[in-house]
Amino acid sequence: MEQKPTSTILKGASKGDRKCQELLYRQFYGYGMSVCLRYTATREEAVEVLNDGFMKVFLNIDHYDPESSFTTWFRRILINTSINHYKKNVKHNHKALDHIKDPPFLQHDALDELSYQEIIGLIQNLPLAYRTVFNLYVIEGFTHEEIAGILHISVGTAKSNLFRARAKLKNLLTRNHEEGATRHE
Amino acid sequence: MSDEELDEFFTRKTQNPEIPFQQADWELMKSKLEQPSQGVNGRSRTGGISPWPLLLGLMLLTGGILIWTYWGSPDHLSGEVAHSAPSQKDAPAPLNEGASSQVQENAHASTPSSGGGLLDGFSERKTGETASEKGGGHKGMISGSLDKYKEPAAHTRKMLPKPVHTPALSLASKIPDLETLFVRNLPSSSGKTEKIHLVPGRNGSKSVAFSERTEDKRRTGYKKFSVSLIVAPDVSALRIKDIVGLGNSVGLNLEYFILPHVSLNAGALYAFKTYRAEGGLYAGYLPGQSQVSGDCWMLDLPLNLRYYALNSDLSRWYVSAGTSSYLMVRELYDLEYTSSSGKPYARRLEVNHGKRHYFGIVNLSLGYERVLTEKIAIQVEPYLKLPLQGIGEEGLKLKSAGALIGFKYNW
Repeated sequence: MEQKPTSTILKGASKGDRKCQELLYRQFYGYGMSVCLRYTATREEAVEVLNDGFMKVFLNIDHYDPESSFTTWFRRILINTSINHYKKNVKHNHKALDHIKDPPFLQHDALDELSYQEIIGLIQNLPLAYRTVFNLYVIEGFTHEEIAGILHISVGTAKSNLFRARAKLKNLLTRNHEEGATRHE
Repeated sequence: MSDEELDEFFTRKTQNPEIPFQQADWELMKSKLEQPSQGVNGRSRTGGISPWPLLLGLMLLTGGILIWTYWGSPDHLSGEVAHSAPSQKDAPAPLNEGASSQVQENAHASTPSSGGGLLDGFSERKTGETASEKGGGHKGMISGSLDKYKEPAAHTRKMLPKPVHTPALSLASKIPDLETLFVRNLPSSSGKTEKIHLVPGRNGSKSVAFSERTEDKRRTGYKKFSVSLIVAPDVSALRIKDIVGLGNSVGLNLEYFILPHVSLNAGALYAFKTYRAEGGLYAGYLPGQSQVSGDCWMLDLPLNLRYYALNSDLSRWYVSAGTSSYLMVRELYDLEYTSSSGKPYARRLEVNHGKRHYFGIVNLSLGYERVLTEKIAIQVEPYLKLPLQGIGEEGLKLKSAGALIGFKYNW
Protein backbone atom coordinates (compact mmCIF):
# COMPACT_ATOMS: atom_id res chain seq x y z
CA MET A 1 0.00 0.00 0.00
CA GLU A 2 1.19 3.50 -0.87
CA GLN A 3 2.79 5.24 2.09
CA LYS A 4 1.70 8.83 2.61
CA PRO A 5 2.65 11.30 5.29
CA THR A 6 -0.23 12.85 7.18
CA SER A 7 -1.13 16.46 6.53
CA THR A 8 -0.12 17.28 10.12
CA ILE A 9 3.37 15.94 9.52
CA LEU A 10 3.64 17.76 6.20
CA LYS A 11 2.50 21.07 7.69
CA GLY A 12 4.79 20.69 10.68
CA ALA A 13 7.78 19.75 8.53
CA SER A 14 7.01 22.70 6.28
CA LYS A 15 7.19 25.02 9.28
CA GLY A 16 10.48 23.48 10.37
CA ASP A 17 9.01 21.57 13.30
CA ARG A 18 11.78 19.15 14.24
CA LYS A 19 9.45 16.50 15.62
CA CYS A 20 7.41 16.39 12.41
CA GLN A 21 10.62 16.26 10.38
CA GLU A 22 11.76 13.32 12.46
CA LEU A 23 8.46 11.51 11.96
CA LEU A 24 8.70 12.02 8.21
CA TYR A 25 12.31 10.86 8.28
CA ARG A 26 11.41 7.74 10.25
CA GLN A 27 8.49 6.93 7.98
CA PHE A 28 10.49 7.09 4.75
CA TYR A 29 13.91 6.13 6.02
CA GLY A 30 13.71 2.53 4.82
CA TYR A 31 12.39 3.48 1.41
CA GLY A 32 15.03 6.17 0.98
CA MET A 33 17.86 3.90 2.05
CA SER A 34 16.74 1.23 -0.40
CA VAL A 35 17.29 3.73 -3.22
CA CYS A 36 20.49 5.28 -1.92
CA LEU A 37 22.23 1.99 -1.07
CA ARG A 38 22.07 0.97 -4.72
CA TYR A 39 23.81 4.12 -5.94
CA THR A 40 26.61 4.23 -3.40
CA ALA A 41 29.57 2.08 -2.45
CA THR A 42 29.09 2.04 1.31
CA ARG A 43 26.33 2.43 3.87
CA GLU A 44 27.92 5.67 5.13
CA GLU A 45 27.83 7.13 1.65
CA ALA A 46 24.20 6.06 1.32
CA VAL A 47 23.29 7.85 4.55
CA GLU A 48 25.04 10.98 3.26
CA VAL A 49 23.02 10.93 0.04
CA LEU A 50 19.82 10.11 1.92
CA ASN A 51 20.29 13.03 4.26
CA ASP A 52 21.04 15.35 1.34
CA GLY A 53 17.81 14.12 -0.21
CA PHE A 54 15.84 14.70 2.98
CA MET A 55 17.34 18.18 3.19
CA LYS A 56 15.88 18.90 -0.25
CA VAL A 57 12.57 17.48 0.90
CA PHE A 58 12.46 19.74 3.95
CA LEU A 59 13.50 22.80 1.96
CA ASN A 60 11.00 22.18 -0.83
CA ILE A 61 8.13 20.49 0.94
CA ASP A 62 5.85 23.40 0.06
CA HIS A 63 6.22 22.35 -3.56
CA TYR A 64 4.97 18.85 -2.89
CA ASP A 65 1.43 18.28 -4.10
CA PRO A 66 -0.36 16.27 -1.36
CA GLU A 67 -2.67 14.81 -4.00
CA SER A 68 0.22 13.02 -5.68
CA SER A 69 2.37 10.16 -4.46
CA PHE A 70 4.95 11.16 -1.89
CA THR A 71 7.20 8.19 -2.62
CA THR A 72 7.33 9.10 -6.31
CA TRP A 73 8.30 12.66 -5.46
CA PHE A 74 10.79 11.50 -2.85
CA ARG A 75 12.29 8.89 -5.19
CA ARG A 76 12.76 11.55 -7.84
CA ILE A 77 14.64 13.72 -5.37
CA LEU A 78 16.80 10.80 -4.23
CA ILE A 79 17.71 9.79 -7.78
CA ASN A 80 18.62 13.37 -8.62
CA THR A 81 20.68 13.62 -5.47
CA SER A 82 22.40 10.33 -6.27
CA ILE A 83 23.21 11.55 -9.77
CA ASN A 84 24.65 14.76 -8.37
CA HIS A 85 26.67 12.63 -5.98
CA TYR A 86 27.88 10.58 -8.94
CA LYS A 87 28.92 13.72 -10.83
CA LYS A 88 30.78 15.01 -7.83
CA ASN A 89 32.70 11.78 -7.38
CA VAL A 90 33.07 10.38 -10.87
CA LYS A 91 36.25 12.33 -11.65
CA HIS A 92 37.94 11.10 -8.51
CA ASN A 93 36.83 7.54 -9.21
CA HIS A 94 37.75 7.55 -12.86
CA LYS A 95 41.22 6.14 -12.36
CA ALA A 96 39.83 3.42 -10.14
CA LEU A 97 37.23 2.41 -12.70
CA ASP A 98 38.83 -0.93 -13.39
CA HIS A 99 39.97 -1.46 -9.86
CA ILE A 100 38.79 -4.88 -8.75
CA LYS A 101 37.30 -4.80 -5.29
CA ASP A 102 37.20 -7.87 -3.16
CA PRO A 103 34.03 -9.73 -4.10
CA PRO A 104 31.40 -9.79 -1.38
CA PHE A 105 31.09 -12.97 0.66
CA LEU A 106 27.76 -14.67 -0.08
CA GLN A 107 26.37 -17.06 2.48
CA HIS A 108 23.94 -18.71 0.07
CA ASP A 109 24.90 -20.28 -3.22
CA ALA A 110 21.32 -20.57 -4.52
CA LEU A 111 20.33 -17.25 -6.13
CA ASP A 112 16.88 -17.08 -4.61
CA GLU A 113 18.30 -17.56 -1.15
CA LEU A 114 20.46 -14.47 -1.38
CA SER A 115 19.43 -11.80 1.10
CA TYR A 116 18.79 -8.19 0.26
CA GLN A 117 22.06 -7.22 1.91
CA GLU A 118 23.97 -9.67 -0.24
CA ILE A 119 22.31 -8.36 -3.41
CA ILE A 120 23.11 -4.78 -2.44
CA GLY A 121 26.66 -5.89 -1.65
CA LEU A 122 26.98 -7.14 -5.23
CA ILE A 123 25.74 -3.88 -6.69
CA GLN A 124 27.94 -1.83 -4.38
CA ASN A 125 30.91 -3.88 -5.51
CA LEU A 126 30.56 -2.40 -9.00
CA PRO A 127 32.67 0.60 -9.96
CA LEU A 128 30.77 3.90 -9.67
CA ALA A 129 30.17 4.41 -13.40
CA TYR A 130 28.96 0.83 -13.94
CA ARG A 131 26.79 0.91 -10.87
CA THR A 132 25.09 4.17 -11.81
CA VAL A 133 24.28 3.07 -15.37
CA PHE A 134 23.09 -0.33 -14.14
CA ASN A 135 20.72 1.30 -11.64
CA LEU A 136 19.36 3.84 -14.10
CA TYR A 137 18.79 1.28 -16.83
CA VAL A 138 17.78 -1.87 -15.01
CA ILE A 139 16.03 -0.59 -11.89
CA GLU A 140 14.74 2.86 -12.93
CA GLY A 141 13.99 1.99 -16.55
CA PHE A 142 15.77 4.82 -18.38
CA THR A 143 16.90 4.39 -21.97
CA HIS A 144 20.54 4.64 -22.99
CA GLU A 145 19.86 7.99 -24.67
CA GLU A 146 18.35 9.34 -21.48
CA ILE A 147 21.20 8.00 -19.37
CA ALA A 148 23.71 9.58 -21.74
CA GLY A 149 21.96 12.93 -21.30
CA ILE A 150 21.74 12.59 -17.55
CA LEU A 151 25.35 11.58 -16.94
CA HIS A 152 26.88 13.63 -19.74
CA ILE A 153 28.38 10.57 -21.41
CA SER A 154 27.96 9.12 -24.88
CA VAL A 155 25.33 6.49 -25.64
CA GLY A 156 28.16 4.10 -26.46
CA THR A 157 29.72 4.62 -23.05
CA ALA A 158 26.37 4.04 -21.38
CA LYS A 159 25.91 0.77 -23.25
CA SER A 160 29.47 -0.30 -22.56
CA ASN A 161 29.12 0.44 -18.84
CA LEU A 162 25.91 -1.55 -18.67
CA PHE A 163 27.50 -4.48 -20.48
CA ARG A 164 30.46 -4.51 -18.09
CA ALA A 165 28.21 -4.14 -15.06
CA ARG A 166 26.14 -7.13 -16.11
CA ALA A 167 29.23 -9.16 -16.92
CA LYS A 168 30.70 -8.42 -13.54
CA LEU A 169 27.52 -9.29 -11.69
CA LYS A 170 27.10 -12.51 -13.63
CA ASN A 171 30.67 -13.38 -12.87
CA LEU A 172 30.15 -12.80 -9.16
CA LEU A 173 26.95 -14.79 -9.08
CA THR A 174 28.35 -17.66 -11.16
CA ARG A 175 31.54 -17.84 -9.15
CA ASN A 176 29.53 -17.88 -5.96
CA HIS A 177 27.32 -20.63 -7.35
CA GLU A 178 30.34 -22.72 -8.42
CA GLU A 179 32.10 -22.20 -5.11
CA GLY A 180 28.91 -23.28 -3.34
CA ALA A 181 28.66 -26.39 -5.49
CA THR A 182 32.31 -27.21 -4.75
CA ARG A 183 31.68 -26.81 -1.03
CA HIS A 184 28.73 -29.18 -1.23
CA GLU A 185 30.80 -31.78 -3.07
CA MET B 1 21.92 -16.47 -17.08
CA SER B 2 20.69 -14.09 -19.76
CA ASP B 3 20.68 -10.31 -19.44
CA GLU B 4 16.90 -10.29 -19.03
CA GLU B 5 17.07 -12.87 -16.26
CA LEU B 6 19.77 -10.95 -14.49
CA ASP B 7 17.83 -7.70 -14.73
CA GLU B 8 14.65 -9.35 -13.49
CA PHE B 9 16.54 -10.95 -10.62
CA PHE B 10 18.03 -7.68 -9.36
CA THR B 11 14.83 -5.74 -9.88
CA ARG B 12 12.84 -8.27 -7.88
CA LYS B 13 15.38 -8.63 -5.13
CA THR B 14 15.75 -4.89 -4.55
CA GLN B 15 12.03 -4.17 -4.30
CA ASN B 16 10.56 -3.13 -0.95
CA PRO B 17 13.30 -4.29 1.41
CA GLU B 18 12.91 -4.03 5.17
CA ILE B 19 15.56 -1.61 6.31
CA PRO B 20 15.27 -0.81 10.01
CA PHE B 21 15.47 2.81 11.16
CA GLN B 22 18.80 3.87 12.65
CA GLN B 23 18.63 6.60 15.28
CA ALA B 24 22.25 7.57 14.59
CA ASP B 25 21.34 8.49 11.02
CA TRP B 26 18.60 10.82 12.24
CA GLU B 27 21.11 12.44 14.61
CA LEU B 28 23.31 13.14 11.58
CA MET B 29 20.31 14.58 9.76
CA LYS B 30 19.40 16.70 12.74
CA SER B 31 22.87 18.20 12.95
CA LYS B 32 22.66 18.91 9.24
CA LEU B 33 19.33 20.68 9.71
CA GLU B 34 20.79 22.81 12.45
CA GLN B 35 23.25 24.33 9.97
CA PRO B 36 20.90 26.63 8.05
CA SER B 37 23.54 27.87 5.61
CA GLN B 38 24.49 24.33 4.61
CA GLY B 39 23.20 23.56 1.16
CA VAL B 40 22.55 20.18 -0.30
CA ASN B 41 25.25 18.31 -2.17
CA GLY B 42 27.74 20.80 -0.87
CA ARG B 43 26.15 23.52 -2.92
CA SER B 44 25.19 26.45 -0.82
CA ARG B 45 22.01 28.00 -2.10
CA THR B 46 20.49 31.14 -0.86
CA GLY B 47 17.14 29.48 -1.43
CA GLY B 48 17.21 28.22 2.13
CA ILE B 49 17.13 31.73 3.49
CA SER B 50 13.78 33.40 3.64
CA PRO B 51 13.85 36.83 1.97
CA TRP B 52 10.98 38.18 4.02
CA PRO B 53 12.90 39.26 7.15
CA LEU B 54 15.23 41.33 4.98
CA LEU B 55 12.36 42.87 3.04
CA LEU B 56 10.61 43.62 6.32
CA GLY B 57 13.78 45.26 7.60
CA LEU B 58 13.92 47.32 4.45
CA MET B 59 10.34 48.47 4.91
CA LEU B 60 11.07 49.42 8.51
CA LEU B 61 14.11 51.37 7.36
CA THR B 62 12.04 53.23 4.80
CA GLY B 63 9.36 53.94 7.40
CA GLY B 64 11.97 55.19 9.82
CA ILE B 65 13.37 57.57 7.25
CA LEU B 66 9.89 58.88 6.51
CA ILE B 67 9.18 59.49 10.18
CA TRP B 68 12.51 61.16 10.57
CA THR B 69 11.71 63.41 7.62
CA TYR B 70 8.29 64.63 8.60
CA TRP B 71 8.42 64.63 12.36
CA GLY B 72 12.08 64.54 13.21
CA SER B 73 13.28 67.91 12.03
CA PRO B 74 11.17 70.24 14.22
CA ASP B 75 12.00 68.25 17.34
CA HIS B 76 15.60 68.33 16.43
CA LEU B 77 15.57 72.08 15.99
CA SER B 78 13.66 72.81 19.17
CA GLY B 79 15.97 70.46 21.00
CA GLU B 80 18.91 72.60 20.02
CA VAL B 81 17.12 75.68 21.16
CA ALA B 82 16.21 74.19 24.50
CA HIS B 83 19.80 73.31 25.03
CA SER B 84 21.12 76.73 24.10
CA ALA B 85 18.59 79.13 25.48
CA PRO B 86 18.98 78.59 29.25
CA SER B 87 22.60 79.65 29.10
CA GLN B 88 21.53 83.11 28.03
CA LYS B 89 20.33 85.47 30.72
CA ASP B 90 18.33 87.42 28.26
CA ALA B 91 16.45 84.43 27.09
CA PRO B 92 13.77 83.96 29.71
CA ALA B 93 11.45 81.81 27.74
CA PRO B 94 12.83 78.81 25.94
CA LEU B 95 11.31 78.68 22.56
CA ASN B 96 10.04 75.20 22.94
CA GLU B 97 7.90 76.27 25.83
CA GLY B 98 5.54 78.44 23.96
CA ALA B 99 7.39 81.46 22.75
CA SER B 100 4.93 83.26 20.63
CA SER B 101 7.11 84.42 17.83
CA GLN B 102 6.96 82.57 14.56
CA VAL B 103 9.38 82.03 11.81
CA GLN B 104 8.13 83.53 8.65
CA GLU B 105 10.32 82.64 5.77
CA ASN B 106 8.47 84.73 3.32
CA ALA B 107 9.20 88.40 3.62
CA HIS B 108 5.92 89.05 1.91
CA ALA B 109 3.85 86.98 4.27
CA SER B 110 0.87 88.77 5.68
CA THR B 111 0.85 87.43 9.22
CA PRO B 112 0.71 90.34 11.68
CA SER B 113 3.55 90.57 14.15
CA SER B 114 2.56 90.04 17.72
CA GLY B 115 5.26 90.45 20.06
CA GLY B 116 7.09 92.66 22.58
CA GLY B 117 10.52 91.50 21.61
CA LEU B 118 13.33 93.54 20.33
CA LEU B 119 12.96 92.43 16.79
CA ASP B 120 9.23 92.62 16.95
CA GLY B 121 9.48 96.35 17.35
CA PHE B 122 12.01 96.53 14.64
CA SER B 123 9.86 94.39 12.50
CA GLU B 124 6.98 96.80 12.85
CA ARG B 125 9.21 99.71 11.89
CA LYS B 126 10.63 97.83 8.97
CA THR B 127 7.17 96.83 7.92
CA GLY B 128 6.38 100.33 6.98
CA GLU B 129 9.57 100.75 5.05
CA THR B 130 9.08 97.55 3.22
CA ALA B 131 5.50 98.27 2.57
CA SER B 132 6.32 101.64 1.14
CA GLU B 133 9.06 100.17 -0.99
CA LYS B 134 7.03 97.26 -2.25
CA GLY B 135 3.70 98.93 -2.41
CA GLY B 136 2.16 97.46 0.70
CA GLY B 137 1.21 94.09 1.94
CA HIS B 138 4.30 93.30 3.98
CA LYS B 139 3.46 93.06 7.62
CA GLY B 140 6.71 91.97 9.15
CA MET B 141 8.75 88.92 8.78
CA ILE B 142 9.55 87.77 12.27
CA SER B 143 6.83 86.50 14.43
CA GLY B 144 6.15 83.21 15.97
CA SER B 145 7.89 80.41 17.73
CA LEU B 146 10.49 78.05 16.48
CA ASP B 147 8.80 75.06 18.04
CA LYS B 148 5.96 75.62 15.66
CA TYR B 149 8.34 75.40 12.79
CA LYS B 150 7.24 72.77 10.39
CA GLU B 151 8.31 71.84 6.92
CA PRO B 152 6.50 74.62 5.14
CA ALA B 153 4.07 73.84 2.41
CA ALA B 154 5.26 74.40 -1.09
CA HIS B 155 2.97 77.38 -1.65
CA THR B 156 4.52 79.26 1.28
CA ARG B 157 7.98 78.88 -0.13
CA LYS B 158 7.92 81.62 -2.69
CA MET B 159 11.38 82.99 -2.39
CA LEU B 160 12.65 86.39 -3.30
CA PRO B 161 14.05 86.32 -6.78
CA LYS B 162 17.51 87.59 -5.85
CA PRO B 163 19.87 86.72 -3.02
CA VAL B 164 17.90 87.53 0.07
CA HIS B 165 19.19 89.40 3.02
CA THR B 166 16.18 90.04 5.13
CA PRO B 167 15.93 93.43 6.79
CA ALA B 168 15.75 91.72 10.13
CA LEU B 169 19.01 89.95 9.61
CA SER B 170 20.69 93.09 8.40
CA LEU B 171 19.66 94.81 11.58
CA ALA B 172 20.67 91.84 13.65
CA SER B 173 24.14 92.06 12.31
CA LYS B 174 24.28 95.78 13.12
CA ILE B 175 22.98 95.68 16.66
CA PRO B 176 25.75 94.54 19.01
CA ASP B 177 23.33 93.40 21.74
CA LEU B 178 21.75 90.98 19.40
CA GLU B 179 23.47 87.71 19.89
CA THR B 180 22.75 84.80 17.64
CA LEU B 181 22.24 81.67 19.67
CA PHE B 182 22.64 79.40 16.73
CA VAL B 183 22.73 79.45 13.01
CA ARG B 184 21.83 76.42 11.06
CA ASN B 185 22.52 75.99 7.39
CA LEU B 186 20.08 73.82 5.58
CA PRO B 187 20.74 72.79 2.02
CA SER B 188 17.78 73.22 -0.21
CA SER B 189 16.82 71.34 -3.29
CA SER B 190 15.80 74.60 -4.85
CA GLY B 191 19.43 75.61 -5.10
CA LYS B 192 19.34 77.96 -2.13
CA THR B 193 20.75 77.74 1.33
CA GLU B 194 18.54 78.51 4.27
CA LYS B 195 19.99 79.92 7.48
CA ILE B 196 17.91 79.83 10.61
CA HIS B 197 19.01 82.35 13.23
CA LEU B 198 17.86 82.37 16.80
CA VAL B 199 18.43 85.47 18.86
CA PRO B 200 17.47 86.10 22.48
CA GLY B 201 15.04 88.79 23.44
CA ARG B 202 16.15 91.69 25.60
CA ASN B 203 15.10 92.29 29.25
CA GLY B 204 12.83 89.36 29.59
CA SER B 205 11.34 89.61 26.21
CA LYS B 206 10.86 86.54 24.14
CA SER B 207 13.49 84.92 21.97
CA VAL B 208 12.88 85.14 18.33
CA ALA B 209 14.03 83.27 15.32
CA PHE B 210 14.15 84.13 11.70
CA SER B 211 15.46 82.64 8.57
CA GLU B 212 17.45 83.81 5.67
CA ARG B 213 17.84 82.25 2.30
CA THR B 214 20.63 82.95 -0.10
CA GLU B 215 21.31 81.66 -3.52
CA ASP B 216 23.93 78.99 -3.60
CA LYS B 217 25.88 79.80 -6.69
CA ARG B 218 27.31 76.32 -6.84
CA ARG B 219 23.87 74.82 -7.16
CA THR B 220 22.11 77.21 -9.46
CA GLY B 221 23.15 75.50 -12.72
CA TYR B 222 21.31 72.56 -14.27
CA LYS B 223 24.45 70.61 -15.04
CA LYS B 224 24.74 68.66 -11.87
CA PHE B 225 26.24 65.27 -11.50
CA SER B 226 26.05 62.70 -8.81
CA VAL B 227 27.41 59.24 -8.33
CA SER B 228 25.86 56.58 -6.12
CA LEU B 229 27.17 53.43 -4.59
CA ILE B 230 24.28 51.00 -4.78
CA VAL B 231 23.41 47.76 -3.03
CA ALA B 232 20.13 46.05 -3.76
CA PRO B 233 18.60 42.91 -2.30
CA ASP B 234 15.97 41.50 -4.61
CA VAL B 235 13.85 38.49 -5.46
CA SER B 236 13.36 36.96 -8.88
CA ALA B 237 10.68 34.62 -10.11
CA LEU B 238 8.26 33.89 -12.89
CA ARG B 239 5.38 33.92 -10.44
CA ILE B 240 5.16 35.28 -6.92
CA LYS B 241 4.56 31.86 -5.41
CA ASP B 242 7.79 30.57 -6.94
CA ILE B 243 10.05 32.94 -5.01
CA VAL B 244 12.70 30.80 -3.37
CA GLY B 245 15.66 32.94 -2.46
CA LEU B 246 17.24 36.31 -2.24
CA GLY B 247 19.42 37.78 -4.95
CA ASN B 248 21.51 40.89 -4.75
CA SER B 249 23.17 43.58 -6.80
CA VAL B 250 26.03 45.92 -6.13
CA GLY B 251 27.37 48.66 -8.34
CA LEU B 252 27.55 52.32 -9.27
CA ASN B 253 25.07 54.77 -10.74
CA LEU B 254 25.93 58.03 -12.46
CA GLU B 255 23.27 60.74 -12.53
CA TYR B 256 23.19 63.81 -14.73
CA PHE B 257 20.53 66.50 -14.31
CA ILE B 258 19.26 67.61 -17.67
CA LEU B 259 16.60 69.77 -15.99
CA PRO B 260 16.27 70.82 -12.35
CA HIS B 261 13.88 67.98 -11.66
CA VAL B 262 14.82 65.55 -14.37
CA SER B 263 17.94 63.46 -14.53
CA LEU B 264 19.44 60.78 -16.71
CA ASN B 265 20.85 57.78 -14.88
CA ALA B 266 23.28 55.20 -16.15
CA GLY B 267 24.75 52.46 -14.03
CA ALA B 268 26.59 49.19 -13.85
CA LEU B 269 25.64 46.56 -11.32
CA TYR B 270 26.94 43.07 -10.73
CA ALA B 271 23.84 41.06 -9.96
CA PHE B 272 23.07 37.60 -8.63
CA LYS B 273 19.62 36.15 -9.16
CA THR B 274 18.25 32.84 -7.96
CA TYR B 275 14.92 31.31 -8.88
CA ARG B 276 12.94 28.17 -9.54
CA ALA B 277 10.30 27.53 -12.17
CA GLU B 278 7.78 24.75 -12.42
CA GLY B 279 7.03 23.03 -15.70
CA GLY B 280 5.11 24.70 -18.45
CA LEU B 281 6.21 28.23 -17.76
CA TYR B 282 9.22 28.43 -19.99
CA ALA B 283 10.44 27.53 -23.40
CA GLY B 284 12.53 24.71 -21.98
CA TYR B 285 16.05 23.66 -22.77
CA LEU B 286 15.02 20.14 -23.70
CA PRO B 287 11.57 18.65 -24.10
CA GLY B 288 10.08 16.98 -21.07
CA GLN B 289 11.52 19.44 -18.60
CA SER B 290 9.49 19.53 -15.41
CA GLN B 291 11.36 21.96 -13.22
CA VAL B 292 14.36 24.24 -13.30
CA SER B 293 16.36 25.85 -10.52
CA GLY B 294 18.70 28.56 -11.67
CA ASP B 295 21.43 30.75 -10.28
CA CYS B 296 22.58 33.57 -12.55
CA TRP B 297 25.38 36.06 -12.22
CA MET B 298 25.17 38.97 -14.62
CA LEU B 299 26.06 42.55 -15.38
CA ASP B 300 23.01 44.79 -15.19
CA LEU B 301 23.45 48.04 -17.12
CA PRO B 302 20.44 50.27 -16.38
CA LEU B 303 19.64 53.45 -18.28
CA ASN B 304 16.82 55.38 -16.64
CA LEU B 305 15.09 58.73 -16.71
CA ARG B 306 14.25 60.05 -13.28
CA TYR B 307 11.74 62.72 -12.33
CA TYR B 308 11.93 64.33 -8.91
CA ALA B 309 8.24 64.86 -8.30
CA LEU B 310 8.12 66.02 -4.69
CA ASN B 311 10.87 68.17 -3.29
CA SER B 312 11.47 69.61 0.11
CA ASP B 313 14.61 70.92 1.68
CA LEU B 314 15.83 67.64 3.08
CA SER B 315 14.02 65.05 1.11
CA ARG B 316 12.81 64.24 -2.37
CA TRP B 317 10.52 61.67 -3.90
CA TYR B 318 11.09 60.56 -7.42
CA VAL B 319 9.86 58.15 -10.05
CA SER B 320 12.11 56.47 -12.51
CA ALA B 321 11.66 54.47 -15.69
CA GLY B 322 13.99 53.07 -18.29
CA THR B 323 15.63 49.94 -19.55
CA SER B 324 18.33 47.56 -18.49
CA SER B 325 20.76 45.44 -20.46
CA TYR B 326 21.73 42.09 -18.99
CA LEU B 327 25.09 40.63 -19.89
CA MET B 328 25.10 37.07 -18.57
CA VAL B 329 28.34 36.18 -16.79
CA ARG B 330 27.58 32.75 -15.36
CA GLU B 331 24.47 30.60 -15.30
CA LEU B 332 23.99 27.44 -13.29
CA TYR B 333 20.83 25.41 -13.80
CA ASP B 334 19.50 22.23 -12.26
CA LEU B 335 17.08 20.89 -14.83
CA GLU B 336 14.70 18.15 -13.89
CA TYR B 337 13.08 16.04 -16.56
CA THR B 338 10.51 13.33 -16.77
CA SER B 339 11.69 10.60 -19.09
CA SER B 340 9.61 8.84 -21.68
CA SER B 341 9.16 5.99 -19.22
CA GLY B 342 7.76 8.44 -16.66
CA LYS B 343 10.86 8.35 -14.47
CA PRO B 344 12.42 11.61 -13.38
CA TYR B 345 16.03 12.55 -13.80
CA ALA B 346 18.13 15.66 -13.48
CA ARG B 347 20.73 17.42 -15.44
CA ARG B 348 23.01 20.27 -14.45
CA LEU B 349 23.76 22.94 -17.01
CA GLU B 350 26.47 25.54 -16.61
CA VAL B 351 26.95 28.38 -19.07
CA ASN B 352 29.70 30.95 -18.87
CA HIS B 353 29.55 34.31 -20.67
CA GLY B 354 26.25 33.45 -22.31
CA LYS B 355 23.65 35.65 -23.91
CA ARG B 356 23.47 39.42 -23.92
CA HIS B 357 20.13 41.15 -23.70
CA TYR B 358 20.54 44.75 -24.79
CA PHE B 359 17.70 46.96 -23.56
CA GLY B 360 15.71 43.80 -22.93
CA ILE B 361 14.33 44.72 -19.53
CA VAL B 362 11.99 47.53 -18.45
CA ASN B 363 12.81 49.24 -15.15
CA LEU B 364 10.15 50.92 -13.03
CA SER B 365 10.85 52.39 -9.64
CA LEU B 366 9.76 54.83 -7.00
CA GLY B 367 12.42 56.38 -4.80
CA TYR B 368 13.02 58.48 -1.78
CA GLU B 369 16.11 60.58 -1.19
CA ARG B 370 17.17 62.02 2.11
CA VAL B 371 19.78 64.80 2.12
CA LEU B 372 22.43 64.23 4.75
CA THR B 373 24.76 67.06 3.85
CA GLU B 374 24.97 69.39 0.92
CA LYS B 375 26.83 66.77 -1.07
CA ILE B 376 25.76 63.47 0.39
CA ALA B 377 22.37 61.84 0.31
CA ILE B 378 20.94 58.42 0.92
CA GLN B 379 18.36 56.86 -1.37
CA VAL B 380 15.92 53.99 -1.05
CA GLU B 381 14.30 52.92 -4.28
CA PRO B 382 11.93 49.95 -4.56
CA TYR B 383 11.96 48.71 -8.14
CA LEU B 384 10.46 46.28 -10.57
CA LYS B 385 12.28 44.79 -13.55
CA LEU B 386 10.11 43.32 -16.28
CA PRO B 387 11.70 41.45 -19.17
CA LEU B 388 10.73 42.11 -22.76
CA GLN B 389 12.46 38.92 -23.87
CA GLY B 390 13.54 35.58 -22.44
CA ILE B 391 16.56 35.91 -20.20
CA GLY B 392 19.59 33.64 -20.15
CA GLU B 393 20.13 30.20 -21.62
CA GLU B 394 16.73 29.03 -20.43
CA GLY B 395 14.96 31.97 -22.04
CA LEU B 396 12.77 32.62 -19.02
CA LYS B 397 10.85 35.85 -18.61
CA LEU B 398 12.31 36.39 -15.21
CA LYS B 399 10.85 39.27 -13.22
CA SER B 400 12.71 40.88 -10.38
CA ALA B 401 11.66 43.12 -7.54
CA GLY B 402 13.77 44.66 -4.85
CA ALA B 403 15.01 47.86 -3.34
CA LEU B 404 18.06 49.84 -4.27
CA ILE B 405 19.84 51.44 -1.36
CA GLY B 406 22.15 54.14 -2.62
CA PHE B 407 24.74 56.39 -1.05
CA LYS B 408 24.88 59.42 -3.29
CA TYR B 409 27.57 62.02 -3.73
CA ASN B 410 26.68 65.23 -5.59
CA TRP B 411 29.03 67.60 -7.31
